Amino acid sequence: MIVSLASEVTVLRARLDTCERLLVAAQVLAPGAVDSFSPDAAAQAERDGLRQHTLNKVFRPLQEAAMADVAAASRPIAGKEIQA
Amino acid sequence: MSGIAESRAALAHPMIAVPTHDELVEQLFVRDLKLFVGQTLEPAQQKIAAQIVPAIAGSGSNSPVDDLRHRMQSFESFTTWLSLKRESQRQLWAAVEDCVERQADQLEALAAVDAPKGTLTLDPDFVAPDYITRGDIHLMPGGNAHDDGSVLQGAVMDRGGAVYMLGRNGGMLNDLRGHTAMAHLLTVAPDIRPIRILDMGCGIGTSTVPAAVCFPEAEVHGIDVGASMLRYAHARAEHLGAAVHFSQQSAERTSFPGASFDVVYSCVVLHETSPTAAINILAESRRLLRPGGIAIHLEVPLLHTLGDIWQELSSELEAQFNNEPNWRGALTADYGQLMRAAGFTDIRTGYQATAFNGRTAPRKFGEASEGVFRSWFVTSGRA
Repeated sequence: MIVSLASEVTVLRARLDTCERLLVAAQVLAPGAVDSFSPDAAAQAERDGLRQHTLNKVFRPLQEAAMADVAAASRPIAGKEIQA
Repeated sequence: MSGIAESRAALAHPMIAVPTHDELVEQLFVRDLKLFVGQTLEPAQQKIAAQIVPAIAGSGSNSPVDDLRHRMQSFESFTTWLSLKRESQRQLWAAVEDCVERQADQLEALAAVDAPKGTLTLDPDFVAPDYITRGDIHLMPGGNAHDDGSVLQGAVMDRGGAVYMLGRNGGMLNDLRGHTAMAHLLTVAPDIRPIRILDMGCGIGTSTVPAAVCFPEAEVHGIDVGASMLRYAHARAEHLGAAVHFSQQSAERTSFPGASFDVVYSCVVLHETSPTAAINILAESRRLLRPGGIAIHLEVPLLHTLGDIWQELSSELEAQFNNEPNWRGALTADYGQLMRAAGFTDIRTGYQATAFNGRTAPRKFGEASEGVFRSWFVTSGRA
């Protein structure tokens, strides 16, 4: 699963790099334009949201597993097991 | 989220390693991951603990925190949370190191300051104490004393520290603790005009520069165990316009003559040492003070003020999974007693409200903690 994901990300990154180089060659972007990009406040807020969304989506199973443990700990039978 | 933004100039100073687009997004991702670990996963563990604590509290146990930990280990999500906590911290340093190493040459060039206002004195024969070298504090690879003759370890600590603090400690300047120590000084001695000030365990000088800012007439010194950190601290202070004299020394026993400072202080140093070293550092701060001089030692909230068994366990796990060598020792000490034993008078222990500027901040000091980052534990005394 992680190997496949790493493979996909590598392909994605190469394609993005290709796009950037083509855009620089076509004089749409100045060289280094992406690296020196500084978002304004509205763009920053949107980008913060995007990052948050990805993070919550990817790590959601961990949160769900934790909530399942909370439920288990709250059940009397489980409570007895814990105390044993 | 304030403090760290993608905007290039946000709260930066000239010496800080400037990340590329990707490096910055990666650092922000790590910061968000750490927030997810602390604010989404940890509260679930707190709820599990809440179900277990009544049984422990009723059992008459002598070690309730250990008991709680033992019982929580039967939940898989508990160990997952701890693994991710550790891994997010490791990722933090990895993200910062790449960024620093890429611009090593520029940082070295920036560090070569013409006509510096302060000084830097390194000791090639210095041997760092065991508690510094035994493990990498905060998991920073190489640890605080690592030195390859460059400023890079300092640069890693600076950038990493700002990300580690999640922007809650003064953003890229990371200087609220130093300002809070100065605010305490001005709370207990509003008219003080110190001639010489010493910051013990100054690291890269984030807590030292505030002393120079609040007392521009004073001669400000900073000592630490790491040569690379001190080289960086010197360059950083110069770029911030602060005249500071940095030297490589152990805070347990310095080379300064006795009674040679008006103010001696430390910020979150004691919990990175050992119980014995902490006592030595308090004694050294007393030895260095002129009659009437003031020592201040600032720390994170003490464990007994945290309020419940879960908070205490959470705090201990933070220490164990993030290499804090004297966490329990420093945070369970009776500072009133230790300061008396070190020979201080007019001793205070309590919580100083976090200050953005030590000179102008409200002079608010009391017995109760206002919570992590909102106030800092402080003990102070006069010689």
